[in-house]
Amino acid sequence: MREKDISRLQTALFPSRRWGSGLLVAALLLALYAIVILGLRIERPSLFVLYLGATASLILAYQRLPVVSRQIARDFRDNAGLAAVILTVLLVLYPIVVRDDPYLIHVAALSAIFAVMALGLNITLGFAGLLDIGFAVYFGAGAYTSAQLAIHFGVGFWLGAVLGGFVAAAFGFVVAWPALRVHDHYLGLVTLGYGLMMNLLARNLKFLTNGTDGVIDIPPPAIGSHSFTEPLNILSLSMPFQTNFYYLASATALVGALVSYRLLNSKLGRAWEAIREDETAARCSGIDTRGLKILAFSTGAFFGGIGGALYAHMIGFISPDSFTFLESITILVMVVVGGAGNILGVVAGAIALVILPERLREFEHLRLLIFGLALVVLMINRPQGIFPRTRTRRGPRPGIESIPLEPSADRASPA
Amino acid sequence: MNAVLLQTDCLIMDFGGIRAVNDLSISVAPNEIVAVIGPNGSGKTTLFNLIMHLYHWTSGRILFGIPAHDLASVPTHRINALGIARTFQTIRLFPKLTVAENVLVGMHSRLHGGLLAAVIRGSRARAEERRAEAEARDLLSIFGRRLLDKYDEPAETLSYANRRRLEIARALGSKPQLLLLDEPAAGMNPTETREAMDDIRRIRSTGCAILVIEHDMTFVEGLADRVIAMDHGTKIAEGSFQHVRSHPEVIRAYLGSGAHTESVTTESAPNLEEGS
Repeated sequence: MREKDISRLQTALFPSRRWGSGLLVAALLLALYAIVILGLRIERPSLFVLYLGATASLILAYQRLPVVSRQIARDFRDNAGLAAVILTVLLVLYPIVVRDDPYLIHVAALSAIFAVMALGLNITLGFAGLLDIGFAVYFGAGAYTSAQLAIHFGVGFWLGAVLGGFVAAAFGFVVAWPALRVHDHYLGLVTLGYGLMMNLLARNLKFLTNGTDGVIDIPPPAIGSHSFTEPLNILSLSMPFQTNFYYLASATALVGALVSYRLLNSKLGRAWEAIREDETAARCSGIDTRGLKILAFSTGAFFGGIGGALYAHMIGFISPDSFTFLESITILVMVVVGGAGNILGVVAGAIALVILPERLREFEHLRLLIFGLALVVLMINRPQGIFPRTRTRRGPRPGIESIPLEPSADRASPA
Repeated sequence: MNAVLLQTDCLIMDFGGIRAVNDLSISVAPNEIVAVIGPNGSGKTTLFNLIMHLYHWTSGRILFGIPAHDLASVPTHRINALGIARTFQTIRLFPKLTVAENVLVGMHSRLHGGLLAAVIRGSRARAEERRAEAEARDLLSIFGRRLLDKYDEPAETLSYANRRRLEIARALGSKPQLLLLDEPAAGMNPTETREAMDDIRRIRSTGCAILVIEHDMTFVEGLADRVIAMDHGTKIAEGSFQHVRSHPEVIRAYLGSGAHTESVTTESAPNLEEGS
């Protein structure tokens, strides 16, 4: 089908083009929502495998029809506000839809936490193109900071999480500063080594981390007198306590996505992308590549730290085993599979990569094998990820007056 | 003494045992077009890389601006902010970024706002973005509708000539006082070359000085106020195009030391006469 045919079909189905694309967006979101919930609800392993096959074919079809995917991307951009509203409503309703099964709410909360972290790595890797295979370091830094502050100094979760974010950002700064002398795969190796090293330190610096015994009894967050381990009452419904964490983590992920979006569409995001595309040309265009690369590392790490703090206070227990090389790889895979650079794609990657291993538990030993094979196939067929960033035509905006910019203050006085 | 915008003093650049630039002293006056010619490997592009401080020179000085600043301690990105922008011999755009975004990146050093401004995105940040986009469109309109029509297309989809044009538009984004063009006519057909010459004249008329490396002698003859010829990192001749073209050292550099200067008229020197 060509683009023209599709829009003709659309006009035939819906009298007004705007209404049509709005309805399409709504229908697609609802369908996606239904697919995800269906996947969560299927109990029998054989049925689940069937479901996976069907979903994979859908994705394959989507990938084989670039005309359709471009059209969809355009419709979503034209109806960004509507999509955001629908998505928010669906997310708010989710715990009510699955309230009979607290485990599903827990898994969703975990997905949202990992989405926050994937959004962080997306800034480092997706925007600025800097490979970081030690992302679990920031996850751990945020988790330990927030947990230990809460246990030993009675610092509340809200302050603790932010402090955890800043400590994680400092850890990002510490590795970026020396590591940015190297590029590409070498940078990957340095950060990988950093991850292993910090994990060893977490195991051995007992006075800070309590070693391999881990930190237990991390107090849950609370709003006023309402502790997050108590059931949440919505209207007359009593929701399982996991709902508290779900809403907290989802809200954080939404804020994270919004912040990512704004960063990307700013001078800073453009500069990061320019560094990714051609570092020398970026430097000659006036971009402080070194400073901005360090900033990309630290900003990504900040997200990681927030995610870590959420994780620590939700699970209530952390140990060095929660922040291993495997976690770093998982977060990396979320970004790469989802489509590095694409904010929604990365979130989708995080959701898929939390839910899938959970659902494949029935297959025990086979699950890592299946998982690995799926990744290899995906990377051969679609190295840019399932939902890569598409740049759709925006067209010059009308009615923009031409006002010259003031000359840079830099020019008057060089450093 | 006339004003000098860019000046190199006894500039030397060694790469290991190879002296790529040897005792080079050149200058560019404000609003002047100076062409640098010379055989491949004579150190022309290295000179550009030194001016942008991509390498640190072995000895000598580079001064830029009025009043003059010593560039020895100025990193590349600050040199752009000071007022020098460049293009590359092998085009180096940001392929996945749109045409507009490429130009906006070129304006980087003139835009304000950091991390917080981007996240909060207040009215000032939005107004600046709007102004920047409007100015990017003005810059693209130097090339008529060629680039404007591709405003939101990724740079990688552009034709070869349009890529060269976009690189110039991006460089102009920083409102440079000095524009370094590295073979702007390379790979272009005669029509496109003539258009490029017109474009560059128009850019000069905005008050910008231009230092250009070019092998196309029609281009050099038609544009340059002054020509500098280099060979093996050394300046071998300088002056008007006519003066440099008939300079024995230049003819030797292009044709080899065995050539007799009397028998080699410009007609039989294809490198020098190409396209004229």
